[in-house]
Amino acid sequence: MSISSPKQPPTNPDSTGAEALDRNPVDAGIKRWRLRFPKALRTPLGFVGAAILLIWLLVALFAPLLAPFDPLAQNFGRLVAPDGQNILGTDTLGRDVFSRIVVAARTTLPAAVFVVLCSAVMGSVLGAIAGYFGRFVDEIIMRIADLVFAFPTIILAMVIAAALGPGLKNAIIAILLVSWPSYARVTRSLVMTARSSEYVIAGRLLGFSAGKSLLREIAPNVVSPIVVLATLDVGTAILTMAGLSFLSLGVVPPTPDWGAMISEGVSQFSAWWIAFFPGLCILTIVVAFNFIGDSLRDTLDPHTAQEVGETTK
Amino acid sequence: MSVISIRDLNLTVTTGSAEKHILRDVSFDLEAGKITGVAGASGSGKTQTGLAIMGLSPDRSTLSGSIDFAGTELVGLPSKKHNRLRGRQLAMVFQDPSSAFHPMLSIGDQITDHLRHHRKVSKKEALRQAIRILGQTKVPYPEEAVSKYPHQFSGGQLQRIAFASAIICEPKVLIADEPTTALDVTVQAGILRLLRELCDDLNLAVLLVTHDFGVLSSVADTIVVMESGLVVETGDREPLITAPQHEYTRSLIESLPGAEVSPR
Amino acid sequence: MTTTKDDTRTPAQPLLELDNVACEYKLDGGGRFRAVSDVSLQLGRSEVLGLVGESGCGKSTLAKLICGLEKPAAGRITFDSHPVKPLGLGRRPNHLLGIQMVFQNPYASLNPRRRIRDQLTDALALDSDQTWTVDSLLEAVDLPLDAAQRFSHSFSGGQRQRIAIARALAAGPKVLVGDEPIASLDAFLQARIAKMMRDLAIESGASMIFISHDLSIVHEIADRVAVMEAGGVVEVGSTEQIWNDPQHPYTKKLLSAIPRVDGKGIIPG
Repeated sequence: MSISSPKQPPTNPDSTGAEALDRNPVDAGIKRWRLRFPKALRTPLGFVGAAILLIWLLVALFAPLLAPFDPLAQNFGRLVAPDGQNILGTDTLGRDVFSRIVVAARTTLPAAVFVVLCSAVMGSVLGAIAGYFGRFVDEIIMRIADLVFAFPTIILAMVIAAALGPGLKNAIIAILLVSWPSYARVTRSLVMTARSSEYVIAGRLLGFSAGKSLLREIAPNVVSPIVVLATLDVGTAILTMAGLSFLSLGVVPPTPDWGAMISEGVSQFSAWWIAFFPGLCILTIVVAFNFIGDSLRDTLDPHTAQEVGETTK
Repeated sequence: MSVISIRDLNLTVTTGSAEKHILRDVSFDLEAGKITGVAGASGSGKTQTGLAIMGLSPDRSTLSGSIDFAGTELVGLPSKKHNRLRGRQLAMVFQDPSSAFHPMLSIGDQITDHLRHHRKVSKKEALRQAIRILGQTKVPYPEEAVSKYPHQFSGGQLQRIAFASAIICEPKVLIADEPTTALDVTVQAGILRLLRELCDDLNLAVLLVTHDFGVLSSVADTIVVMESGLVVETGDREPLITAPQHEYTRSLIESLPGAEVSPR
Repeated sequence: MTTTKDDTRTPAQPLLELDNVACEYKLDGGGRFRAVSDVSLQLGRSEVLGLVGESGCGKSTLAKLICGLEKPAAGRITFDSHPVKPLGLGRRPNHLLGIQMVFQNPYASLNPRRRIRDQLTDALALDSDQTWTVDSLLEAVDLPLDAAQRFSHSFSGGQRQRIAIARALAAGPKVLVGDEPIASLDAFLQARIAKMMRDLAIESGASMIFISHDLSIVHEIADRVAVMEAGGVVEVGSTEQIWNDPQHPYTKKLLSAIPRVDGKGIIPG
């Protein structure tokens, strides 16, 4: 090893060197991404968020075992307040609220994650194309995005869902169509900045085509803000979906859904438990994802995160 | 009689759990009518020394030792008092003149701002002063320049305006942090000449921070060489450049094209 | 604009030839700004051409034209008997990959999210001769071998610039264009990095165009020097000729503005 510059920072060969020498570089990059997520959750907020989420995942997974009663069966008296048997009470049709909440987690959670994933992918692909290729492609994509932005999200989702007819699938499509533009905007501006930077030009000079430089040089630099945005968006997606169910445009009764349960509960002022507990569930999920998103944002900054991770071993 | 006397100045910055020693026992003097050059590579602490005099050390940093400014101790001076000294007695000029000015305010407003703040003079009087001071720093057509905006000037002219803004309150100390680094060679000479003239005419104590020994060789009277927060060598200009005592100084000067260092 | 041609030193078939090249930018107000006008230059094999001028003289635009990053408004650029075409969305044609560039700002020219190894490997893939490996490149630019595993932000400006030089070299270029590669470095590093660039380029059989505003550095490394002012080349000649016997008043002005490091306290100019 020849070090001649007086300003060389001390290098620590055994911490960074040996670790990935035998690894294929592309693999190393991907593994690195996977490895960094758990680290993000090690901040106190991230840990709390992850813990809440884990609990909900377990609940959704073991819902049939956890639910004491059949969520659809109208076995009990109407509007029974929480007691020893129905711990969270019963609804207007005499169904057990606790069982319904537990079972609803199985539809709400996967649907929310799915819808966010799809809109993040769709939005960032369109945004990247608009940002990189510019001109009329940019004009077309971004004007459509502006069109969507011009309406309040829930109103537009309502219109689309109403046009497609009620049902979980249509609700997901509606939310997807209204939520991609925010990803497109963020990605577009990130790509536009990165596109003119010298490292991208250097890549072009090394013979990368526009598409390859977008994937190889630009993508790693724009992924983390989008991941953060998506995490924060899961909460919004659940709320929008609850909103649609609340307006009877989402999940079709009698399938249990948190939004639909709140919708039912608001007309029963005396039976506060019908709306309160599903609302509490939505709150915990939204908060959990926000915690994770905040924590990811702090940890994914290359200047703080990687440095700390690599030098303090 | 030195205007500023720095003794055993230490600066540490805490980031997270790590503590970084930026300055270690820095000692030197600034004298009236003399240009003291501080040379060093980036990260040697030369800029932080200047900022410490101005009371502009970074957040979460601790300063210890002593900076004596004509009887006033600047280390540990309450920021309000330091603020009163800044602009009136201590002035500073930065590297990049194009980002040193507000783009939406006229030059006249910007260079008289602190004059009006510190001296409470009328706007008319301030403008008269501004025209005089722009003349002194040889900005062409000072009467028209005061009503122009920063983008209408070249980099060299803006740096002259920055000097005008720095000396308008008749300070005793001027800190120039790489004042010619962002400028073209042909413009650099003019700015250096201006710095020399201002120093001589106004009896200023000048601290010139730079990484360029060519600049120091042209205008500095004494030179302080810094390496990672330490002063490695202090001396008069000519002996220090032609016969540096310290190995580090020698390596710096020898690395420059056309440097004339006598062999040891 | 006068254009001085220097036919004495360049061989009959220059490696890179610029023939009355011009470049224009559209201005916001609707007008056009001619950044480069009527520039004719030749670059021979294993030759270092210094391109000197002050900010705004069009030297960076010229570098971009050579690399195909700008579209010329007039004139022809020929590299190794191929015309240099402006880069579109597609891949850069193979016969032009022999022109590589080192940029001015070492803080922007390396990808912050990719390991140094990955960035060097991309460039190595272009060189069919397999002249270099990641390790030999890092050694050539005086960096420790474990640098390959790190990200750019853990390096200083001078180190980053050496990595950028390594990346440009890895592609096995025939012409290395340095666009003010030392301007943002400490004075003490400038000559060292410039010499390193020259030595590595010449050793690997390439030619170099070294763009700088600093005549004293160019004097140390260039075989020939072209002086640019306001978009045109005002003087071309061998380095010694330009340094000792400048003809054009602008060249004289540039030379006289260089401060001497002699400790005499003389302000140049």
